[in-house]
Amino acid sequence: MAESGEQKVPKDVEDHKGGKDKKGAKDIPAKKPKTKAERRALQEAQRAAKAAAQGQKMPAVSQQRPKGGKSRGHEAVVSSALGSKATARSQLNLFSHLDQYEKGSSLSLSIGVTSDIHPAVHRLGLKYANGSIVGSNARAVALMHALKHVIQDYKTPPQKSLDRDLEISIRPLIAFLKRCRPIAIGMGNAINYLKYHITRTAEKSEVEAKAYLCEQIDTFLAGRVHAADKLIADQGASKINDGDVVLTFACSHVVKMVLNAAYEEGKKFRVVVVDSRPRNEGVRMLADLVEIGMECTYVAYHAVSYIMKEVTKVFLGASALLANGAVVSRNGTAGVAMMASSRNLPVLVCCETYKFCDRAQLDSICFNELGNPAELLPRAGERSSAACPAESIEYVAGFADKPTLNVLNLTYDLTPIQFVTAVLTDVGIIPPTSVPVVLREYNRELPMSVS
Amino acid sequence: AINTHGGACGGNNNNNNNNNNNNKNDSEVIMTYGASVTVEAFLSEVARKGRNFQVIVAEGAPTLRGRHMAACLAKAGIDTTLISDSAVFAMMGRVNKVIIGTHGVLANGGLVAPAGIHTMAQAAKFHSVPVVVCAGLYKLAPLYPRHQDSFNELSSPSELLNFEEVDRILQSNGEACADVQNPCFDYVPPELVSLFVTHLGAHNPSYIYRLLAEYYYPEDHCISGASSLF
Repeated sequence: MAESGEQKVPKDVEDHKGGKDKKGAKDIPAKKPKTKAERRALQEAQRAAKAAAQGQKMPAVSQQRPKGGKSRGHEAVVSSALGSKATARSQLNLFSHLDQYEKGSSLSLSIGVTSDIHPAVHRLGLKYANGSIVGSNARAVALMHALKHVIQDYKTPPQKSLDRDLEISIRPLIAFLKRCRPIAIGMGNAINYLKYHITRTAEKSEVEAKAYLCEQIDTFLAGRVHAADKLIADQGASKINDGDVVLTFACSHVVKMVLNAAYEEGKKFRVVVVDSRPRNEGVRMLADLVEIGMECTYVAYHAVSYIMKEVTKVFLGASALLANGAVVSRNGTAGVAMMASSRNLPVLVCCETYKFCDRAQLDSICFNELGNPAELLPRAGERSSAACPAESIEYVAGFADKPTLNVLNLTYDLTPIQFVTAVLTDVGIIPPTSVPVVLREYNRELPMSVS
Repeated sequence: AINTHGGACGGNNNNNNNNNNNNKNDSEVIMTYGASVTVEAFLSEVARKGRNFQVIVAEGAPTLRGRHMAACLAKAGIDTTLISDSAVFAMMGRVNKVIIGTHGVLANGGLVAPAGIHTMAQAAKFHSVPVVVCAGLYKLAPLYPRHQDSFNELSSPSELLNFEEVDRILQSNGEACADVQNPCFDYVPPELVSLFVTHLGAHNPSYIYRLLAEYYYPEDHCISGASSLF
């Protein structure tokens, strides 16, 4: 909740956790003329007027943010922290059940020093929103580091116990991060892990509890992420032989480690990097692999079928593995796995167990993240070629005003289990059908999965 | 060249359309790849006849002609969505038909099509979505593919990575070399094509070789220097 107008200096970092619970929904500051509900109502009225003017039915109201039961207080915290975002028009009806992409307009300017979000989480949220931190591992590791800061700075308010209150005070931070960019499944699992351990601090003193939680976070990162990556790299390297042509898609940190480990062992192999628009993460992968010294080929997505005849193995990264063995990964992975599988090439997915999830999904549409459609659009000043006349480029660039034109930018897609040969994890090389088995074994120790 | 062909085939296109509007049912989702004059004329004609459908256009990197297609279809009042090539598999689950153009039709019913269409056709097969190819028969060639890349050519890698970027990447390692490949075409085997829509009607790919007799004398079935045609 935003502070009252008198406070000019930034709040002392130590206090803000303590004060937050009392603020809640009651303290709507005078300087905000409208509540979120009023602003929304005004927005709806304006949109209805515009739609009526266009003679078109109102698009399905899709800006139902945030989903799930969050209290008014959290909404107010989140909205005051981020300011108002320009809402995007509703995209293809297929995706009206998902959060539509909303481009945050000058996020950093709207976040004032009076916001109640911990500065480490602020920084993190901004980095997520503008794409400085991408990749499931990078995001999860950064998240855990930020939460460690939050825990270290936390002070239990009087009359409250850490094991209950800390979790409550973390919730608005997570809500803020979700607003910057929807969290990945691995991140959700990590947060659940932390919440479980928070409940285990009941008998500890505050100092002991904080030390315990920081230690648990360190153990998680060291064991479930970094050591897991090392194990996967060694297993993957053992699967690469001399003369292999290994194909990989976009940029995966753990696949890079696999290829690096194989290269260090002295194996002679080639790498093919397949890249796709709009993110072009393959360029980064290519740069890193070339720096290590590997022989690389770079192709864009349209050449997958052309290049597949040279390939002997495919290594893919994953954002999550679902209980039905399906792989959630960067948009385009499914097509690559399909083409490899149609030529009977082994498709090896490298995924740490902390990214396993007990949800099941059959297609890429029921759950996905919608990215910024502007990434697909022509950049300002992009010149027309004989291929694509200038007026078409302009027409598409202005798609927001065109009722019959949508631009869709998916972030993830789902690779069905049929295309995956094996999954390399920190518990060994397992078939994709064994994912629920691993989940069950881990759940015996502690609850890890996100429903 | 494509535009003049399109103009000359205006009559062809109309014939295509008349034959095959029956194919469209209400509220279908059609997927197409890049831009094809024939497909655009076909879909515009169907829309003009009042059928209700949506189109998903894959942008067709690296030329990104799909943007032009999306603009034309949207201007014709068709509900259009532009997606990147990598989203083709993800969206295919909701698609009812794939309608594409092609660069050339081979004698076995296979296609020499813009690169990326093989992936789309394979995804369509996985999802059991019929693939309809709209092509005038002037695209038919009496050639059989000897191997997958019989009729391919590679265009400039600078369409994918411009030269400054490659310089920067290669600077990190003195001995480094990176190979960038940018093929123009894909060969799509006839098993992946469900139907050919031509100005003479709709045909199975297995019928295409019979049409050779209409267009080529038997003596011309073997064209010397065939690989330089494409």
